Amino acid sequence: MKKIITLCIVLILFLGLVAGVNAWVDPAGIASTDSFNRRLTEIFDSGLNAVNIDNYNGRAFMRYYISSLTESYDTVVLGSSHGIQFSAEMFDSDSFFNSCVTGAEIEDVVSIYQMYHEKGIAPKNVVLCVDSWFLDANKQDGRWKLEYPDYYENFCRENGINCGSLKSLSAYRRENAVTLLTPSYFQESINDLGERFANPLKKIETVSGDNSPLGIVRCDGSYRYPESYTSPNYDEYMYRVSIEGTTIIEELQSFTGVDTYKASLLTSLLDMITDDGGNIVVFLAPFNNLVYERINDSENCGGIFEIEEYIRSLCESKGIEVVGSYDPVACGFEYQSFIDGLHLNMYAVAWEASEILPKLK
Amino acid sequence: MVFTTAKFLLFFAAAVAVFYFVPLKYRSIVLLTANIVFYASSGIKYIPVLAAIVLFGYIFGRIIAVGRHTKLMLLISVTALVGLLFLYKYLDFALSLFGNRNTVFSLAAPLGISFYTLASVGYLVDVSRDAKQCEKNLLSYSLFITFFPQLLSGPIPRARKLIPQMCELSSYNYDNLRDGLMRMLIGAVKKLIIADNLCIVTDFYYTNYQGTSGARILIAVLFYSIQIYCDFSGYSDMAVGAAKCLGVTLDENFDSPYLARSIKGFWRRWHISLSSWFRDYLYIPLGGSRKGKLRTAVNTLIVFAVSGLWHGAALGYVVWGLLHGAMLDIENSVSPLVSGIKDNTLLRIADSVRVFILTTFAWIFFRAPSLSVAVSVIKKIFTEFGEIPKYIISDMELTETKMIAVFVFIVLLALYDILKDKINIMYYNAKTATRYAVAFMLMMSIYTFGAFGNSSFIYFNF
Repeated sequence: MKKIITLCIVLILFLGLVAGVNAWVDPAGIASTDSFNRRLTEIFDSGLNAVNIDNYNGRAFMRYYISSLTESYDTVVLGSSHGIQFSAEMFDSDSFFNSCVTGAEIEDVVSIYQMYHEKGIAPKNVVLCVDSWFLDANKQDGRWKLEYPDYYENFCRENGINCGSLKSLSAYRRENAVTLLTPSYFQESINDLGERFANPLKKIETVSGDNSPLGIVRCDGSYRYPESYTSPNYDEYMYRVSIEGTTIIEELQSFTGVDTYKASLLTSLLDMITDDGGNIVVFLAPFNNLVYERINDSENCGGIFEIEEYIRSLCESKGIEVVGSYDPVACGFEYQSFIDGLHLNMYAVAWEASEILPKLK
Repeated sequence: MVFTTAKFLLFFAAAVAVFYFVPLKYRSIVLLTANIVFYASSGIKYIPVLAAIVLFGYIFGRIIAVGRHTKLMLLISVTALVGLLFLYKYLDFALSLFGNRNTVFSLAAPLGISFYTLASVGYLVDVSRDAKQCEKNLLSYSLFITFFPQLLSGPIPRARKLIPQMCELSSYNYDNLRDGLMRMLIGAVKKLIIADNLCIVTDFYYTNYQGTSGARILIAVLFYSIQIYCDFSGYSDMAVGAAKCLGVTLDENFDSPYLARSIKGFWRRWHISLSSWFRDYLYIPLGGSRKGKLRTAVNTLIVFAVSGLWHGAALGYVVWGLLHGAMLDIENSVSPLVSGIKDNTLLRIADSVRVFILTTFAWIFFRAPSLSVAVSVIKKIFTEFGEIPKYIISDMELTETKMIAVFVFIVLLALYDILKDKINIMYYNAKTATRYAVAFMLMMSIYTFGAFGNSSFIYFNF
């Protein structure tokens, strides 16, 4: 029995060490977010950009940041990383904020808009990046549950949508605490360990403008990818395209049609923005040509066309402008316009912004 | 339930705890329950298939043991089992060979069916040869077929070794638990640090072989040899270790195969439970090496073609098997001519390198998604080699640090394979604190360098 107890103690020590390192380095800010978000908000308020915080928890920040706002923006961008590169400069506006979060689902978008709505600071213009997976019932990442299930619930209640039984924010966060024991989070922590030792107080490095080769989160909420990511060697580029293409194709192959529940969320969101007096421009971000060709060549991937058609007809029925397409050729792009399988390079994003700009009020 | 997932570890901890907590007489029930839960976790709809095969094997074992119409009963039972395997795994393939693809027959094969079918067939043949091998206790027989550590990917159990252990499950022994856990840890290192990291490279280059230079494809081909060894032997280590924790000794499935000096030697060290199964239940009944050189060569080719086909319903596997069969036949013909050469270290190394190159070449047909891709890959290597790459991979979820760690662990594994006995003696003679320190370091290495994107084992597909 003594030996078993010793064995258990060693295991507990091991897991304790892992959890300790993860909690201390906390690369994605899951253990403690408020102080980080407060400092980031202060930096943004001072007009500076934050450098090298690529793993920060964008959802938690969005919740904190929007709750600190007192005035509405002229233009807000909502969506996933497909829209995260749109910046105030591209829209020639001082009253602009990019509220995109990486890996966003429709639930993220409605919850974030609900924050603006509840605060009474609904923007005049909303650029809504609608991704193909927004209407796919099989896409259930659920990261939004960890940050704003309450706003999601409010949105559903206000729009008469049955959102089922959601747990409280603290209950979801307790469940997520197990992440502190996972090897993948530990590896992220190890990667950031040196940085954490050098910067034990987690001071956020700042820069004015885009003067850093590292990733930059600008004070307008937009993101500038690190130079190492935007200029990959051929193998890296092809690897990203290949992996992302495979993921998209797998998702599309399990797609069984536009999900009525998710579609009702999108429709309600469009109606809510309109009722708040906002002008909407829907943006469909193109896939890399190499990915789109694979989609075209693959069996059972016709869902992509069905989704685009659905979104276009929905917008048409509501008189909403649509810019872009999932088809890169329709947008006039070649594969060189992309930094990976899903994301346009900065120049292509600026070009898309110039297409959106005339449609804003 | 994959061995390297948290879900399995929780299940395993609970199973071991309950197994030893209950009185000895109830342990068989606990173990059978654990087996069912384990199998059900990979698809509850296949439980009836497994149950049917268990009952079928048990009933026919009893019938064959009676001794009347033994050969006929054996023929009926083996045909039925192989027929079921054929229905699940090969009917679609067979129809497609004749240009007829009827989706009605496209059944998803239950996980592990190839393994537990072979175990059942082996048992029935054993009973037909010696009626004393027949197990009368249904519970013990069920445990023999469904024992969860070896259910999905072997080692393929032999009745005479496993059934006696199932009849008398051992009482708690800390040494078994300690040794079993250590063995599982070694398996996890092989799988998560080496195999799954190399898998990132091989998967990428085999998928994108068209736009890649021959040099890079060659790297992927070499990596695959190491990957499949670490993947499957890692799995086997975990299976043997898990069984050991429950006081059951499973047969070893690997014995440093890349150190073999011949293809024959390779097959005595690689997937031992499968090659010995084919030797005992196919090669020897076909006549083995007793009916002349030509017949021996043909028998070898038949056995390896069937072995290839057993891995999957694709021509690539058959070609892989035939290649091994042909290499073995050539080796058998040539070996008398070179038997007079004096042995030395250099020759031993040269032999092992030769075996590694030949088996690596054959793995191309095993890994490539189709025969045409395999041919294209070989063509690329020989005709479009290009420059030797300055970097292998960067930013493929495989950082430079990780790649270095993988190489370090490959070297450590090679050393372990060469000096296994000495290292094991050293380890078991070491102080408890040292053993814990080693285990702690291995766990930390897995956490730090492991790849966790692809947790399934290659042999789960078979």
